[in-house]
Amino acid sequence: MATFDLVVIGAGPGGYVCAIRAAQLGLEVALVEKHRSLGGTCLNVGCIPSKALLESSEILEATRTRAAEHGVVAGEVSLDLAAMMARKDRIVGELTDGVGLLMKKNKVRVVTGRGELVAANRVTVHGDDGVTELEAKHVCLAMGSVPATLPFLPMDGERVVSSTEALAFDKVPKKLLVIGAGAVGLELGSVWRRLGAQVTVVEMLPMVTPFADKQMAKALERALTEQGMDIRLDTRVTAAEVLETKVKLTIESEKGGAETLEGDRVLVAVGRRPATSGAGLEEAGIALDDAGRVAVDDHLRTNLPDVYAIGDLVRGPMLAHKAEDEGVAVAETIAGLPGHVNYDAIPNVVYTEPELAMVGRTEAELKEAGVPFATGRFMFRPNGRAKALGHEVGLVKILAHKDTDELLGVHMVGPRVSELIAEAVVAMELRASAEDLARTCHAHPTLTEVVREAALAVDKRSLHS
Amino acid sequence: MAVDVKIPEIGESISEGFLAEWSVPDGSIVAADQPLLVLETDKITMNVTADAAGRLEVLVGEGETVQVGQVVARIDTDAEGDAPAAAEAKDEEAEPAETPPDTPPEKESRSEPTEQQPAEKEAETPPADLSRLTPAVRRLVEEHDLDPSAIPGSGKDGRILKGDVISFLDRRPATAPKPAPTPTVEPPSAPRPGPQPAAEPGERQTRRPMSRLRQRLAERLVEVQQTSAMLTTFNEVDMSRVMALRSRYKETFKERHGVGLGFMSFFVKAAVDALKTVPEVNAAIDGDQVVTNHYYDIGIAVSTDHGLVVPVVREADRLSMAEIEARIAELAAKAQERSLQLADLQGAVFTISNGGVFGSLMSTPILNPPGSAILGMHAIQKRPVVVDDEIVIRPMMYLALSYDHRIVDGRESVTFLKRIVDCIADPDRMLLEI
Repeated sequence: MATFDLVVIGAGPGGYVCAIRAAQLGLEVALVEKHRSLGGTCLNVGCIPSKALLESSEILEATRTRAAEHGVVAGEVSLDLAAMMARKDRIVGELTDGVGLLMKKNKVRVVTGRGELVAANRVTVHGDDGVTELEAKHVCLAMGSVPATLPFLPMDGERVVSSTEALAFDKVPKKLLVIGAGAVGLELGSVWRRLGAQVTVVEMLPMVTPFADKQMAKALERALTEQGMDIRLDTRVTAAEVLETKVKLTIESEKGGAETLEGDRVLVAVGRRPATSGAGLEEAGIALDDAGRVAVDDHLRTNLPDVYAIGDLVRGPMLAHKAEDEGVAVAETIAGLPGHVNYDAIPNVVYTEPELAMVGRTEAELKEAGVPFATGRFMFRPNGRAKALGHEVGLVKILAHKDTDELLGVHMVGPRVSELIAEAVVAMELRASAEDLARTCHAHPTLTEVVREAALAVDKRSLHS
Repeated sequence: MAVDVKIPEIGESISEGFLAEWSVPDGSIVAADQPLLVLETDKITMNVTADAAGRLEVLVGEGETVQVGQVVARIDTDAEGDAPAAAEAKDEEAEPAETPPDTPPEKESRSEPTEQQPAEKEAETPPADLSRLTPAVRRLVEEHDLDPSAIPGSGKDGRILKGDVISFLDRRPATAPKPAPTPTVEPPSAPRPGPQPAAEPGERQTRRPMSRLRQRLAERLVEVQQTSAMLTTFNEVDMSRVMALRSRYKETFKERHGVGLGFMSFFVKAAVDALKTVPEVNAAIDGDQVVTNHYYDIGIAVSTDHGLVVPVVREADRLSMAEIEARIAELAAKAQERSLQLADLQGAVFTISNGGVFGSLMSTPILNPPGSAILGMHAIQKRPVVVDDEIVIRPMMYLALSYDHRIVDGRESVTFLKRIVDCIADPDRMLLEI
């Protein structure tokens, strides 16, 4: 039986990064993955393919609606959905192959098959060629998550689908119903709306992107509504009827009462749940927390000795980069180094147009915690680069501690804020003050100037307002 | 060319010190007169500055005991690099360091005023390495003229955050550090909570080396207790007249003299008056002889972030109230910046300590040798008192006088303290010498 210092189950961004880091630190590592293609949900059916489609569909929409304003005359613009999907698949292929190369380069042994934790130090892999037994000094569970379902609306992969299928429709739905206005619902809703579908998004809560700052969520909702997305907040789906070629949803809201929506497909995007089944966790005696996630301590240790868990399996936001950082922390902990994740400085991004990005705490959270804060806001509209881009919608909002001026939360809705947020994350990681950001030189003309102006606005010193 | 960095002459009785900390890392480019290291001796903590500009090569590590005259680093003046321009002129004349950096002045003769020399030093305390600070911290440090090395950083790897500077400023009294209690039997005030390493969560104790200053302080406090017959007498004083005078002339005084009018100058004046009235208190035992002083050098206890020091206001009898206030402010600022010279600390004939700034209502100060008495001031508190058979509310302060009973008797000490009470309760008496 092969013996490893570390066996990682699941080759998503958490698992494969954990494997690389452990290998860098001189450990013998095996990476167990049930799919041939490495990279997990993120690379295969999540972050990456959705970004490919968002970019492609944005080009289509921009050419149709915005090119003329730039003096670009495009003639008749049409969609080749198959080509768009092929491009997406090629990108996914390049990246997943890249993960395979990284494993080779770092001498991580990849074992294909369903990994099962038999005991604290033993993993069996059920592959096509039979069962492989691995002896592990340490195990890192990184099986990720699967789309959550609604009890009255089981997925059928055809009419009622998860994000996985919604990334690969073979034709543009006429009417797409989306349940859930989180990142997945809004991003895929945007993709299909741009490609021609009539999209209605139903959200149970009173705001889109419920994790975000309320003001920013409102700004995003307004922008998406203007683009033609029909967003129903505070609305519950109470019943569903799946027919041959369409689906009927009965929705109910305080204000609007009951109503029936019809669509040719329904995307259920009501979140994800940890993939705790099928890996022998229960049999091995791994404890779960109240929310059904694998229970871990501050060092990501489970209740079994030498067994760790990371990413979507455990508490915290279900984000690839959070899983990656946890993977690194686990590898370093196992190697005897001080592994650590700073959960206060994990960015969160929604790749709609405008994009939404945030790090740190929201106004509501600060108020609830009784933390005194000052707010600085600045709009993208007066910014030169935003005007040149033709994307003037949105704002940056900075929340800083009233006494120490330390950054507590940075919230953005606007063009390319997925990239702008990095500056705020670094600043927060270094526990900078709003004034530190404000006194840092920002290139002109760039969108980053809006960040600086918002930082200045915390002290009411904006230069361009 | 290499210039040696030597431990300077500190004072006659001091031959060694403790290299507490390098203010700039090994290998960095330093400017002439930039503080290089913090030297702790038995009596003071001081900065040693660079004699020339160039690249610093550290020869002796932090935490080592060093002798006066010992070479602890070299400065390669050829590698001046991007050292500030101000340093350059100095280079040509940079003969091997004849005069050690920061040589303290010769012990000054009594008859001379003592002010000018240190005054110019203050201005040139150059910013340490400001480029390593975050922009907001840099701005605050420059605006408030702070020594960043004195600010405890709570950020990553001990970085100083803006919030750290703000709380440092909050802790620091508005202009200069306030006079503070000297050695008293209460818990001594020396190390302030700020610069101490914060305890990691869950740690029940932390351990760190005692500073030289603190060690010496501890020794001296015990020594005084063991070698003198110390006794304390108490009294109380009605502060209303002094307070009224102060609030009436505060603005005018400040305009006229450029320095605030505090209570301290009243007490220094009153102490001088009392010393003149009861000359037995201005005396000390030396072997089997009694030495009586005919000068009035008053020690003022000052609490700083790095410990308690007692700088001396010389010839207080010849100074005006404004001069006394200015001198105290200057000494307190120097204490905070660690630029006090040994000469600033030696030879007080009498000491005043103000525990009131921290709210103390009553304490028994410990003598500060060679002085034979010490006055403890305390918090002012409104209390009902009987005046002309009526109960009235008056701002009252308890006063304590600790004295060496070997040389001062009860009668003298009580008379002395009563004289201070009279002078403060009715400042006109000082003017009229009655």
